[in-house]
Amino acid sequence: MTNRRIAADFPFVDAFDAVRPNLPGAPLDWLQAARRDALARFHDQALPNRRVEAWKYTDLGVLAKTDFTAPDGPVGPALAARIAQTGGPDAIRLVIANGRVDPALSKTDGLPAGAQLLPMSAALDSHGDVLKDHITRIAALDGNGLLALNAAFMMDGYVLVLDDGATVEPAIEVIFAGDGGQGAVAFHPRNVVIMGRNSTAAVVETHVGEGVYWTNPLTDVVMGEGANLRRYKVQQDAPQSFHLAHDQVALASGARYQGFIGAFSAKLARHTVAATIDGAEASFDIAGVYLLRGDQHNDITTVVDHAAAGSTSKQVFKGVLDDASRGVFQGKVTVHKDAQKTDAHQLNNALLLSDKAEIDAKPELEIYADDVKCAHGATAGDLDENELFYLQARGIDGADARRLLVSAFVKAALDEIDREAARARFETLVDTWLDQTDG
Amino acid sequence: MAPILEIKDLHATVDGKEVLKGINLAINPGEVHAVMGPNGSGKSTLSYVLAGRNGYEVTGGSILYKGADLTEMDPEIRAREGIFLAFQYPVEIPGVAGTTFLKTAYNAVRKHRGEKELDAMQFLKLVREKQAELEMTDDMVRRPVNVGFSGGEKKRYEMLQMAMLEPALAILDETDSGLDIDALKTVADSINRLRAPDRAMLMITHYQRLLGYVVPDFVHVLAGGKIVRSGDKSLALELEKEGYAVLGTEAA
Repeated sequence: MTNRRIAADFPFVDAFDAVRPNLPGAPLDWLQAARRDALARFHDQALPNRRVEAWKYTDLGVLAKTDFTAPDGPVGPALAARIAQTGGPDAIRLVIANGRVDPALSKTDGLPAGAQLLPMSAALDSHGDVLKDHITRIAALDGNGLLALNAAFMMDGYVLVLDDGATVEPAIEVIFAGDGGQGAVAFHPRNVVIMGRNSTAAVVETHVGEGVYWTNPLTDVVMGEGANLRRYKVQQDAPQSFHLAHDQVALASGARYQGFIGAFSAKLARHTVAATIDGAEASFDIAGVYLLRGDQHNDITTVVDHAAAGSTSKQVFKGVLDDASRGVFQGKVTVHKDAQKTDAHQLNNALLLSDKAEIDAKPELEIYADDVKCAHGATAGDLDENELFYLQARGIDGADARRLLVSAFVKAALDEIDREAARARFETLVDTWLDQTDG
Repeated sequence: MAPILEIKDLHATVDGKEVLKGINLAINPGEVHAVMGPNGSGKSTLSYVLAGRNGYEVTGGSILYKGADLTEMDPEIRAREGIFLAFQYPVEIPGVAGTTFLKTAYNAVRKHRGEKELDAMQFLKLVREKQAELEMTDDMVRRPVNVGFSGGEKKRYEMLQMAMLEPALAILDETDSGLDIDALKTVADSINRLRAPDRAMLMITHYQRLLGYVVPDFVHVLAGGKIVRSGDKSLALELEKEGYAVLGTEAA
């Protein structure tokens, strides 16, 4: 077996007993037991390797080469200053620095009645019983070593609890910062979003950092009937960082999830988005852009389960790959026997700007119901020479023409964002990325 | 008077195959030349070679534009220097808003010519003025470049771009194809408005239909990659009557 595994003996794993008392929920016996069980699972499973079908295109072997330790202390002042700017001065903001809430940079008051935003450490004190159910549910998932690792070392993330009918109008900003400036660190944020019936919220999750770090966030979203969540992820991690995220979303009847992922920077990133649609007429939409250069690796893996009738899902991803970067898109849609009238749509288009760039796309449909509408499409190509020449023939120089065409290419994904402010933020991020190309 | 365009013994290949086999042509400011010829004679190749399209390689001869070697210039530099190619098949570019496209092009050309770039309001005013002449609506000008346009609308949009960019040498590649009679008149009016003593035009066409509305000073017949006959506007009428078939043996 050992040769089929990726080494699990990271310094932070070996230090489990030493770091455990400082992790959230230390006085909770059930949680201590859950952490120990999870560590045992991790020792058994280790990190997923490429012989596992779902990890065929993303090699975590590179992680084993670095001695990741548990973070000790907050992020440095330069990074803290950057974080303080995110989302505007009045935004409701929670800052998770190296896996720990930073109260000085956070501002969580001003939420309307029926809405609570807490770091995991505080939520375990006030909402221990509710969170126990969630933590137990995640532990029971047929998961992999990464999930086990998060369960064993679970640190601060955000916990958002919305009562029935609660509406939070402005987007909540959650900033995750990693600082590996003093040596490579690994941290494991756990986020939980619990939405009551007909509650509404929008969350912007921004990931930034410096140096070498490995963030392993796990987000558990449970949406009640008619709940509406917009969730925007800005993944702008440090160039030498590793970002391995897992989202687990459950939707009840009539719930509506609208997610967007903007993957701009990290050495290696994987975004696993798993959704289970348990309620009729629910809809799960996820869109995103991944803009890669250098030797960046980005993996978007979606697993959408339609388990109820009349539900819809829509996926729209646009990837732009320069230099020797590599993109992976794996999209699996399962329509269960009783999920009649399902409408599932999936699209991944990749634009390869270099001969050395690579995209591996694997759409997968499994349909057990007979009255459904399912479509998927995956394309890969380079810039259209006709379009390029047409622009140049009007006096637009080659670099500007390429820029216009790349912007146009990703626009269809950005257009999926129905909030003007969020769309504008991602447009700016795309522009910034394109500016770096020119330089 | 120095010619705007002077082509001497031009040979060019497309995908390694020789298509232009020794073209000679000189165009002076103020002149409108028509190049006519059967399919496959090299008409479109000539237009692409002049505009600098990738894959259209000059293998012999010379092209001087305002006295400078054109073959060394990138397509965007040619455009800024005043060469405008009205495409036979204008390209649809989804996701690029027409206004963004036109403004980027316009300001790139202005900047190159040492003129001040226009701000959004000034630019809008100018576009409105030109679009009215071509019977185009705000919506048509704003929508993604050429997307959803009919054949005739695409040609009118080409003319709008030409009117905005005010070229010194306009190359009109089959601009009359796919136009109904009303659109043909609108497009011809637009071309005629741009006729000026310091501007030259090269109209490439299969039929003489457009030449009834935009009367050329000279007509050349291109066949087999060479200009086989030149004359005045009466040559176009003669070809219309006799057809290109009479040139068959000469061309080979």
